[in-house]
Amino acid sequence: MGETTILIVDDESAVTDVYAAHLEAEYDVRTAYGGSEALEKLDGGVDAVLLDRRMPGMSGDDVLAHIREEDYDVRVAMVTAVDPDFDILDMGFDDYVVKPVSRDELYETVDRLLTYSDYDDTFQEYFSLVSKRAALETSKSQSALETNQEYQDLDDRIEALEADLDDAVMTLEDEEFGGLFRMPEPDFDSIDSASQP
Amino acid sequence: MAWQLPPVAFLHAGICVAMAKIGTTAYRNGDVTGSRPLALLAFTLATWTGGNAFVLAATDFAVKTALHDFIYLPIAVLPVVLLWFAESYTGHDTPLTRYGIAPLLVVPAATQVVIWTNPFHGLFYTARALDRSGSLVTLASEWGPWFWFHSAYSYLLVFVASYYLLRMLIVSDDLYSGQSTALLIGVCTPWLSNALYLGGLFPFPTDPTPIAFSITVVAFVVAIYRHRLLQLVPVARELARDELMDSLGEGVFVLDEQDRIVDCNQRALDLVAVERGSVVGDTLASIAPDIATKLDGLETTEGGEPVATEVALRQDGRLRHYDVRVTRLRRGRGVLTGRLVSLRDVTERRQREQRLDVLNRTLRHDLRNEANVVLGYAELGQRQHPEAEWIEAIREHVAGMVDLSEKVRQIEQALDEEQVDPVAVDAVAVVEEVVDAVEHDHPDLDITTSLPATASVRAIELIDAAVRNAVENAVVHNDNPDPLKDVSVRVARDGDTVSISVHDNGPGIHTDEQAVLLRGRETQLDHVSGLGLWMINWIVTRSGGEIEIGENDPRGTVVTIRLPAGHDPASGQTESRPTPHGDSVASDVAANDDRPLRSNATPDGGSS
Repeated sequence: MGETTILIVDDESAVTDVYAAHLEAEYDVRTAYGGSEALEKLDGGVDAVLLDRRMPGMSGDDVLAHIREEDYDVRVAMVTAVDPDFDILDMGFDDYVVKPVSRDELYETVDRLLTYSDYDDTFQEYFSLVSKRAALETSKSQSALETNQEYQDLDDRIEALEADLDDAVMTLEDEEFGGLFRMPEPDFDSIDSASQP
Repeated sequence: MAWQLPPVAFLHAGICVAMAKIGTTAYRNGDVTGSRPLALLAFTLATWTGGNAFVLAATDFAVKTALHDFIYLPIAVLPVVLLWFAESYTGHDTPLTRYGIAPLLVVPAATQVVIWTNPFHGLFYTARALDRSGSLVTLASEWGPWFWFHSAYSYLLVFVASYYLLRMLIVSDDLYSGQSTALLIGVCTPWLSNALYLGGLFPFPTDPTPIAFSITVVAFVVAIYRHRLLQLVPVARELARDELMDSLGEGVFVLDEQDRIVDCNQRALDLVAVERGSVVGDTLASIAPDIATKLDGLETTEGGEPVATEVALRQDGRLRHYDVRVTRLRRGRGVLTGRLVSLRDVTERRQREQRLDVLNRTLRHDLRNEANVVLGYAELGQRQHPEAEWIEAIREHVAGMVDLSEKVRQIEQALDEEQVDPVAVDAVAVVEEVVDAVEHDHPDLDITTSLPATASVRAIELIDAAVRNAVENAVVHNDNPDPLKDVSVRVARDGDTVSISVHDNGPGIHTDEQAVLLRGRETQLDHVSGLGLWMINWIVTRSGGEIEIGENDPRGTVVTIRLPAGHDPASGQTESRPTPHGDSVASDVAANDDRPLRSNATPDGGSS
């Protein structure tokens, strides 16, 4: 797996380094201690980015916006100590993980990102929206969620995508199912429990 | 000189005495607005009725006419005094007194001259004679042109005075309407009797006006003693309001329906930095556009409930924050409407909140980062020394630190967010979930429960965190080994409340900690476990519930959380939804295996 490249971005060098120490065993790891440095080290060879949000100078949110503007084909997980607020709804990340992140979680997150790369845009949008919903559900009260229109829109969009994807899954060939069920999305668990790792 | 003593003369004499008494009382209360003209009014009436008593008693032509001429002094002056009283009492100036009261006395003075010089020109009386046809000797007069002029003038003044008193009766609110009614009866009775007299409908041979004023006396007495006329006239209240308005810490604007400023206090003028004279009559938008814009966006409530918003105003170059409250004014049966806008400076509070917010978030953020580094290195170490147990200890303590910061976040969320109104929650579902979670953390522990099928309560969403803290407290601070810990949770409905009681066989809760739970008061520097107790206190209090601590038999504590019961026990289970508080987003996603796709999945999909 040497050719898979992960970029770790965090202004806390100790955090960056310890993530790197864990992931080096499996992946080609690049590290950046700031937003601008992250963009310097980002090129077509990077498969996934673990991106801190709050950084002096160029923030993680800025880096993410830049990545999406430049249309890099790279999956991004926000790995942050910032409690998710409704502002994440406008962000283009694939996953949202709140620190502290254990070794297992770190690997799970990277695996998930790499799996997402194998899917088309509809699936990627679905995963991104589901991660936003999950993030908000951990930090917001039920009533705060219920009264937020953007969250309701998100919920509706996820439901619509699920209906679409459901149809798509039904028409897939058997060998494609194998690939599908490597991903850790729980929604498909019940379709085929035998394919669980 | 000959005299007669008819009862009507005694009546007039009696009224005279009563009026003199009223006048004296009013005069002694001279420091109250309106009492001077009232005293003068009473003395004028006393003179009139007293004089009239002698007029009625006299039977000699010369004496009777001389006395009759004399009582035109009070008769002519009375309308002017009445107008003065009406103006003072209602607090409104009429156009008639633009140059003061004195010019109004010109006509009454002229009337006196005309009366005393009448024999030379006959402008007042054209003829006068004694009428001895009835049981009483009365004076019959033929009136001249000045009499009619005098009468018209008097009617005009009395009419204006009556109008102002009547207007106040309509626009005043409840406190004054009784008082105004008494005054109105006092004013209207002479009018009515006069109309009856002129229309020939009055049975007495003599002018009933002074008798009608006896009713005025009674009405004024009622106003004075029943409705405290002299202690509490509207003008006094207005003065008090002005004084109060100016001494308020809040800025207050009173707006009419077109949002023009009707009134405001000194503090409000300071806020918008203008002089008072230039403000009244201007629209709020021209004086304080920032505030006006805020008000435009506000929905007004019909019930008179104040509506609140916030505005930031720059004062002396510094931005200050204000709480704005808008109350709809509705005065005197819908005649007057407008809005009362008050602005309270909340800058200090806002800054304190901001500081607390930043401290909280930064602390939590940095703590998580640090915890992440410690955890990361511990795990790296574990890979090199898989047998090292101390690494597991590091892990546990890091988790404890993160839990603590999570607790702080939950408290913040439970109490400081805008939407923390109690909702219907099933206490049984909450307890079951909490017991499962705690048993999961302590595999050797068996928590017994005694639960009904459902028990709907009204509580804020984080009530599960309060229950969890209560159960964890019973477990963690129990000095028995896990298998011997006897912890039980019971839910019971008791009338309008539902109680959740946690029983343990531990050492009991220390008095300092009981103080936190019961009264929300800290007696000493608190240790970490106290945060959980605070959490229980805050969440339960916010839910409208209460906490009770008792002793368990033979050993231990019973902590009882009492919450208001939900309205419909049956609906409790559908509305309840204990919120998830997962450790991380990733684990939460993994736990959500109940999404809609599941039901759509085909069973044959598993053939691969």
